[in-house]
Amino acid sequence: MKDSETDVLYPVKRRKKHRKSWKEIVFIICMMAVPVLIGVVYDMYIKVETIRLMFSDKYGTGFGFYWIEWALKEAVTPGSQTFIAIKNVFSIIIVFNGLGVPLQIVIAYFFFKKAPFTNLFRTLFYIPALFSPVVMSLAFGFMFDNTIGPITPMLRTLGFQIPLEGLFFSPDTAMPMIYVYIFWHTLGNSSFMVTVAMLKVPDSITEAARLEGISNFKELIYICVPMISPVLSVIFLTNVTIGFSLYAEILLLTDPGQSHVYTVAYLITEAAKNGKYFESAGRGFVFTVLAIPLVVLTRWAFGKFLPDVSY
Amino acid sequence: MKMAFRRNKLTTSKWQYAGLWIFVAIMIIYTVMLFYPFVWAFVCSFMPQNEFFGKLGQVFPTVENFTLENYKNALATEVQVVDKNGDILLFDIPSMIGNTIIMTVIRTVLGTIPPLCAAYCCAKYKFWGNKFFFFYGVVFGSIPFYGGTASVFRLLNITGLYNTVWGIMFLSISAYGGFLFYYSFFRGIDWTYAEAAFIDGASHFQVFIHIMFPHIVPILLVFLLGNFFTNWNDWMTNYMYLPSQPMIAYGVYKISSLATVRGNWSLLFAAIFLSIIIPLILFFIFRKKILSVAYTGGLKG
Repeated sequence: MKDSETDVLYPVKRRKKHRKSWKEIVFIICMMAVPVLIGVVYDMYIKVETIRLMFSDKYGTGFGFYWIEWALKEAVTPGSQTFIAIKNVFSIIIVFNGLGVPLQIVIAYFFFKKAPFTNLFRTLFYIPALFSPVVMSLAFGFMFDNTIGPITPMLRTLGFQIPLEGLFFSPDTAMPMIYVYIFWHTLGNSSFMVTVAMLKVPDSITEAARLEGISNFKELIYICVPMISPVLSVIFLTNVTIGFSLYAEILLLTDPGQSHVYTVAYLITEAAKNGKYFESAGRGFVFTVLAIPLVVLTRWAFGKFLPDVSY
Repeated sequence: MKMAFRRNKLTTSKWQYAGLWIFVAIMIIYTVMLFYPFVWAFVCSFMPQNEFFGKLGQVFPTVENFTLENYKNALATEVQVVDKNGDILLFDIPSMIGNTIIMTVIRTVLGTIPPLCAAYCCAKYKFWGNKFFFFYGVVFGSIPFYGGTASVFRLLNITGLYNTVWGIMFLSISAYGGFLFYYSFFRGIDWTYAEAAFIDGASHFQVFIHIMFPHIVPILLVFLLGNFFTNWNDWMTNYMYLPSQPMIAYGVYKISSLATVRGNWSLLFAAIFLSIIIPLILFFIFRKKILSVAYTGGLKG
């Protein structure tokens, strides 16, 4: 039997492998060169170098645990900067996720329900996002300034005990004021993010629930919240990240030395800026070890109690 | 995307109707609180210094002797910085705005184009490392890692890029900013357009520039605008890595230190308003597009 006949009877499956032309290879190299260099090579270098700095001896000349031990010791010493920063991480996560997210959901639900002036509020609430943190914090800071601000005298008149050094500079009030500041400029805007997620819930689901006579409260709790769980998960995780990355607000509104308001990002960045690389990396190790389980735990909790939905 | 706010009316009973208006009242109060500091500072920016000190702590100050002197002074106020060689440099607000425009445009392009190119390649071509690049960004991007700032500072100091424009440009190059969004967008574009162009003799670059790129232009413009605002307001990078070339956000921070020491508050208020004019103008020109992406962009519900 001839070969050609065999081929007809038993066709050999020849897999045509797409061979790239040199032009295609050049194109891919040109397009991917910068992203690979920055996204992978540079990023890997920074991570490896940071790990090297973390595991250095006291003088950075060889392998050691000096800076990690130092940072761990600080982390468990009450009153130390690292200890305060860790405490603040947890308080930020609790305040923002425990108070901020429910508030956002309630506000978002009203906008979802076609509250009057919704489009106007949407535009107005976005405007603060256009301004730099410097402008926002200065504007907020003026209000509570001991010398020029109109709010502080008003609060004193109303009988509130205002610390002499000012609300942003007293260790007792500085951190709560940072929370107030963040709520002040993000609450409206972030609520609309939740509204948009609610608007994507299929009409058929809410309409079916309406026909069953569901109340607004039940609609919010049993339909809207579970249906927007992917977005809520992102918001919760973002709030965990904020706990670690709060920096500009601390620097612009308070004096950490006076008010003892320390955050993770503040300690790491200030140390690095002042050339204390090993100290910065050592603290980074402690915070990374703390952050990874927090992120994993948040994801797990969401998966467990509010499983992901797609529609 | 037009937001579908016209649905699911809450008002079915009198109580619900009342509740809705109570909510609106609370939102109006919140809006007043949100903008009150700006209105207060704006009014005070037109007061002479002595008049302002006579009205300290007033909740609703009124201007008796209207003046634009604070704005003139703010435009002429110079911020003093020390460059890499130890020389003292002076920058006024117009020069800082000039710096900001140039740096913001460059940084916006550097932060937007590389991820776009990578997303196109990963979405449309099979090559060695394609999946690795994709998953490296997704996996490592989601694992928190702190302490890297020390290495960045160290690298910039070793290479001599610290406190140079080149250093800040290098740090602005992004590989994954918006990558997933562009990736899913390019995946949705039919490849038969490209195949037809290849048959007509088009090169890979021509297909990308003339066929694929126009598809993404409308959404890319909005992304560029968003990145523009982010970079315009980014004072941290300036403060940390390039203190000798102040841009307007960092400049206002420096002016605030000066004004606080000198007690020249009205000048600071004027400087603040000069710094936000350009973002406000851009916002009102592109309001609909910005809002549509801001509230629908990266969120899937």
